[in-house]
This record gives sequence, C-alpha cells and structure tokens, in this order.
Amino acid sequence: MQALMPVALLGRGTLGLVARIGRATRFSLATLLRLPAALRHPGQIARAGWQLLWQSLPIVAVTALFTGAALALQIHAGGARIAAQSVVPQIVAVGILRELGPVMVGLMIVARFTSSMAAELATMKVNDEIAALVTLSVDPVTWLVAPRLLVAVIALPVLVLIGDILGLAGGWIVATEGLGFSGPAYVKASWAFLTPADLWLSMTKALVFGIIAVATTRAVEAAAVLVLAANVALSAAVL
Amino acid sequence: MKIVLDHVAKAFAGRPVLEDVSLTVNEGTSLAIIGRSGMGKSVIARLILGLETPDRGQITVDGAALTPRTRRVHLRRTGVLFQQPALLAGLTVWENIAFRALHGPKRTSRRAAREAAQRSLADVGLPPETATRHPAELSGGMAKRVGLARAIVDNPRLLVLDEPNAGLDPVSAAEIDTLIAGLVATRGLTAVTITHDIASIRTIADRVALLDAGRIAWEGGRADMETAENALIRAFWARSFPGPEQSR
Repeated sequence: MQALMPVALLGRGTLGLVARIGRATRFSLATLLRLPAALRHPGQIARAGWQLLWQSLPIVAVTALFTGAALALQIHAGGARIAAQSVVPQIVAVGILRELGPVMVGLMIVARFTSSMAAELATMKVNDEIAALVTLSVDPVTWLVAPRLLVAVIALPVLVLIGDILGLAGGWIVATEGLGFSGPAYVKASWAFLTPADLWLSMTKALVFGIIAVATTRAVEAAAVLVLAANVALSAAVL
Repeated sequence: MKIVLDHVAKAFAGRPVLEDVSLTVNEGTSLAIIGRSGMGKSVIARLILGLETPDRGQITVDGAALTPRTRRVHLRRTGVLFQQPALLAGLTVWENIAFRALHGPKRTSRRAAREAAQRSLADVGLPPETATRHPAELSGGMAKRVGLARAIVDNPRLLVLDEPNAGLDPVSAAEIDTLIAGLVATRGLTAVTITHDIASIRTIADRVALLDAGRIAWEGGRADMETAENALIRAFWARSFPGPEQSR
C-alpha cells in the first residue's frame, strides 16, 4: 500500500486540478452569459472602468516604457556579438507588440486588478454583503463580476495598445539617446517591419488576458500562470 | 407569513450542522432561535431565506415549498438584517436602503426610491441628513439602523434578523431591540431572530426555540423560559452556560 502512495497523491492532485479548472470554466461561462444583464448596472461598469483603465494606467505606462528600454539595450548588446546591432528597431517592435506588451500589461493587471477584486469579493463574502445582494433580488455575479469582465475585455486592448506604444517609445529613447540611432530612421525601420498581424496578435492576447484577469478571481498566482500559458498557446497558434 | 421547517438536515463538507430540525413560525409571531455559538443558528436563518437548501427535509412558506425557483418571490416579501449590517461600501446610505428599487428587477424612479428610503430612515430614528453619508462614516449602531431601514423599506411580511445587536454597547443594543420590537408589533410582521442575548429575547420575542446538537431541544413562549426544566434554557436565563454533558 505504501508503494501506491505517490500514485494516490498524483491522482488526488489531478482530480483537484481538474475540479478547479471545471469550477473556473463554469464561473467564466456563467459570467459571460450575464454580460448583457450587466448593462443594467452602468454605475458598476463606470466603477470598474475607473479601477481598471484609469488607476492601472500609470503602472502600465511605466512598466511598458522600462521594458522597451531594457529590451533595446539587450538586443543591441546581443546583436553586437554577431554584428547585428542594426536590427534593434525591428526586434524591439516585434518583441513589444507580439510578446512583451501584452504579457507585461496582462501581468500588471493580474497583480493589481485581479488581486484587489479577489480581496474585495472575499471581504464582501465574510461581511454577508454577497448574501445581502441575493436577498435584495440582485444576482451577485451580474452586479460584481460581469461589469468587470465587460470593462476588462474593452480596457485590456486599450491598455495593451498604450503599453505597446510606450514600450516602443522606451526602445526609441534608449536607441536614440544612448545607442547612436537616428530618431526618424529608427521609427521608419520599426514601422516598415511591423505587419497588421503583429497588432492583431497583441490585441487578441489582450482580450484573452482580460477574460483571465476577471474570471480567475480566487487565485492571483493561477491567473498569472494562465496569462503566461495562454500567451505561449496564442503565439504558437499564430506561428 | 407562516414558515415551517419539516425534519430539515444540513451538513457542510461532510460535517452535520443541523440533524433534524422541525419548527413552525406562525403568521405574526416573533420567534427567537437561541443556542450556543457554532450550533447552526445562522444556518437556520439562511435556510429560511433560501440562501441554503436543506440536504433532507423541507421548508414551506405559506404552505408552498421553498425552492431555488420560488426563492425570488419569497425574498421580495422578506427583509433581512445580517449580523454585519452588510451595507455596500460604494453606495450612500439612501442608495443602500433603496438598493432593490434602484437595481432590482422591478425598478422605480430614483426620486421615488429616495423618498421611500427617507421614510424608512425616519422609521428607524435616523435624521434625514444621514441619507447622503457612506457606510464607512457610520457608527456600529447607526449602521445597524440603516440595515434595518433597508430590511423594512419594501414593506416585508417576514423579517429575518441575525444577531441584530451583535457588537453594540448595551445601550445601543437595547435601542435596536426596542426599535425592532416596535416595528414588528406596529407592522404585524412575522419575525425570526437569531440571538443568544437574553435581553433581546425579552424585548423582541413572543416564542423561543433552543437549538442544540442539531435539533430543536426546547420550544415555548418567552415567559415559559423562566420555568423551563431544560438545563441549557435555565443556563441562558441565568446567563451562564453549562458544559456539553450537562446540556443533554
């Protein structure tokens, strides 16, 4: 019996994981079905918009700017080993739009918005506020979660777009101020290299990360891992 | 409104909380459910509200079974005061009181909702200027009153009160008890109060049911408590609690 212990532990862990995924999926579907009903609560939508879009903007901006700057430095240093420093604009552009822009913004939103939402919902549950909503004939998912999801699927692409632009700006600043690139030439090289597919991938990732950020209200770590896993899956699907 | 719990059982994560609870709350009666902490008194309140469903047994409201399907209608006729007043932090006092009218399925105009909230505020003895304050600005006693105003604003037939004076000083607690007793009497409400406070029972309840070991161990009129032979009832009356072996 002792020999079977690892198998039992593995089985228990797998069942637990499947159950968690099942609950998260069911919760996500239930929330998606309530999106039209969420439109009846414009105050909640405005509040979620304020929290997600406006309050997250500074951290998203700073993160994207620094990420783009650091990326330019590293590509320049790495490129120097094979005499390929001139590709900095192109690689920064692709790296920011396709990967780092959406991922960094997604993780920032998970760290900020998902964690605060999880804490707020937990406090509301302890204080009987969620039960109070039910007794007052208002569905808690429609009142609390669906407006946030609605905002997230709109706000995440906006935030990622802002992050993309600022990430590119970060790379441009470092390249022109410290790496000897000419400003207009850098912009021209970046612009010429990018395709609409790069932007579409960035926005698609933003949309998916927005759903993950709201649907995974119980575990911030799980949301972060899901963002990274979804990022790989979406990148692989496109490539 | 007549509420009947018929051989109701409820367990959480395999741990039985209520084993066999049968209880009748007649129309216009104010029943207090007492018992030691952790015995499942609040679970009975949640079952009566339809927030939990029994594992066994049945709950009927005016003869009709309470199910997830009939819950919405039942809750429209029910006012609730939770142990925590459960006011929503982002809303003003009047928006909390008028929450169902503002955000529920059958909405009224903001003006009508606010007028109703103001009337309800007056009914619980709070000044009109309280309406525009936020829950964080209220004292514990005021928050309880606002919770009570929300419970009565839609003219319910049933009032469910979970530890209505918990966390309040004795003076504020007595004021809340007196307020509840007055509202129940003047409006002819059926009321179910979860409490372990003997002063509350004296003020609010007509009848008392003692929950112990997952069952109703004693039930009777408020006046009968004084002469009851049940050890736990006697202990409650004396405001001291025996060990588990003495209460059986």
